[in-house]
Amino acid sequence: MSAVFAHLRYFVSDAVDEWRHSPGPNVLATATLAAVLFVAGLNLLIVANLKSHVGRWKNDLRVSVYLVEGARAADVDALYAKIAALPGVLRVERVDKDEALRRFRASFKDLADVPMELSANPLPASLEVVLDSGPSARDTARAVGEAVASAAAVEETRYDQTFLDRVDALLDVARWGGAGLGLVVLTAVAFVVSGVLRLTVYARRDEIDIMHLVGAPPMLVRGPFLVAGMGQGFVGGLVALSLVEIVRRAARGYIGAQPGELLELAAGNALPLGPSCFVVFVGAALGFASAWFAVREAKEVSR
Amino acid sequence: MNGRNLVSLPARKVPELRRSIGVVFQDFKLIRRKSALDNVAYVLNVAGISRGEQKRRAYLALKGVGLHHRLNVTPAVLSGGEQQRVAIARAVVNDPELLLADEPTGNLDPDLAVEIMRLFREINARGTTVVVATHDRDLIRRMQRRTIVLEHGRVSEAATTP
Repeated sequence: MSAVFAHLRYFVSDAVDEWRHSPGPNVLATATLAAVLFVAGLNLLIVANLKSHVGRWKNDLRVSVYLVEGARAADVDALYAKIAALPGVLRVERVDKDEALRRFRASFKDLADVPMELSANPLPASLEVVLDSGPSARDTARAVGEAVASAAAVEETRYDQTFLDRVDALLDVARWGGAGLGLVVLTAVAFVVSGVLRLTVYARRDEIDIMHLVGAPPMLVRGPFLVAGMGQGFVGGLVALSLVEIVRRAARGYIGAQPGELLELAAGNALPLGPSCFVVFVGAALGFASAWFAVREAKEVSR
Repeated sequence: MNGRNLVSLPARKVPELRRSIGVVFQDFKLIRRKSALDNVAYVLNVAGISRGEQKRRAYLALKGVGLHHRLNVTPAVLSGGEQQRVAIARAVVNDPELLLADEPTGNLDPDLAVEIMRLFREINARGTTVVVATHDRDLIRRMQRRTIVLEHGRVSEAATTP
């Protein structure tokens, strides 16, 4: 075991030494990896933020129970009491026609005059059901819908569950599609980076020749290159994460109010720890794979 | 070699064979970015010897060739003779059964060449077989050791022993 640690220590010290002596190819390989990981990091940032918002919306559902025109007050009171008694319901708010109109005008300023062009206020009164937030909110919303379905005072029940489920499904498609595409891109990049690393192997061919002459087994010759590749990927991952965060902060600082809301949705929060670790891990794995291709193809190392 | 048929040696056994042979070249073949001590210690690293022991034995080997005062300098700083002595220290640091020297004095002036050959004598006296390939007939005469003359890869003169 101590021999394994001794070899590992040698690989690391030799890789650091090599970085110090010929920084050019190492910086080039690291920059290439960082560029690709930066794009992957941005993708993860947007998906993570959108998922987080959708998740919060899904846990923070409201149910709108629209009432029939001219519903009797006694029926509405009974409906109110029935809904308020359901488990998971935080409170029920009454929204009369005037309040509905006020909200419409507040939400759609450009269309504020449209209802007034009609002879009467067309917007229905409703009961807004606020649910306890959490994963059970969707079940509660469904229960509210079922409880009021047959009530005479109810015109229609609405909640955004279906829409949010669709958004969620789209995000899953984006995430897995992105992952598939990312895999293809990363494989291509591995070959590009391995080309850069082959320059390093080529630059050290005399040294590798000497290593063979003194009887170094192939693994001892390859080891420093593999560790160097892994290190480049690791550093590239950290650089990419830093760039993602810098770009996110810069964009939040410079973009105006309207696109700013969209940006807040897509990049309001920093990349979480899990995806950040994933980026660094992928970087290290990619660097290792690139180095593996480089040393496997280089005759100086494999003979 | 030592009862082993090298022609039929499998490729995976070659590194092991090389570890039992010390080799010295005309162009020294030192790793430029490593210090003299690290160049010598590398052979022991390959053999899986601990770092502390590597340093100790590398120091002794360099001391044996009179370079224990230049442990931490890189080959670029050393003269040709000093580089060759580092190469010899590297070749003998793991006590090989055989030391092969390919034109070891080709890049050195005559005084240094004699000095290097004196080192080979000492190594031989400690029990290592030393084979030196050279075109320098004068040096061969002065060494007064067994000589085998090759022409076009074949022995052209009977081996002579002084």
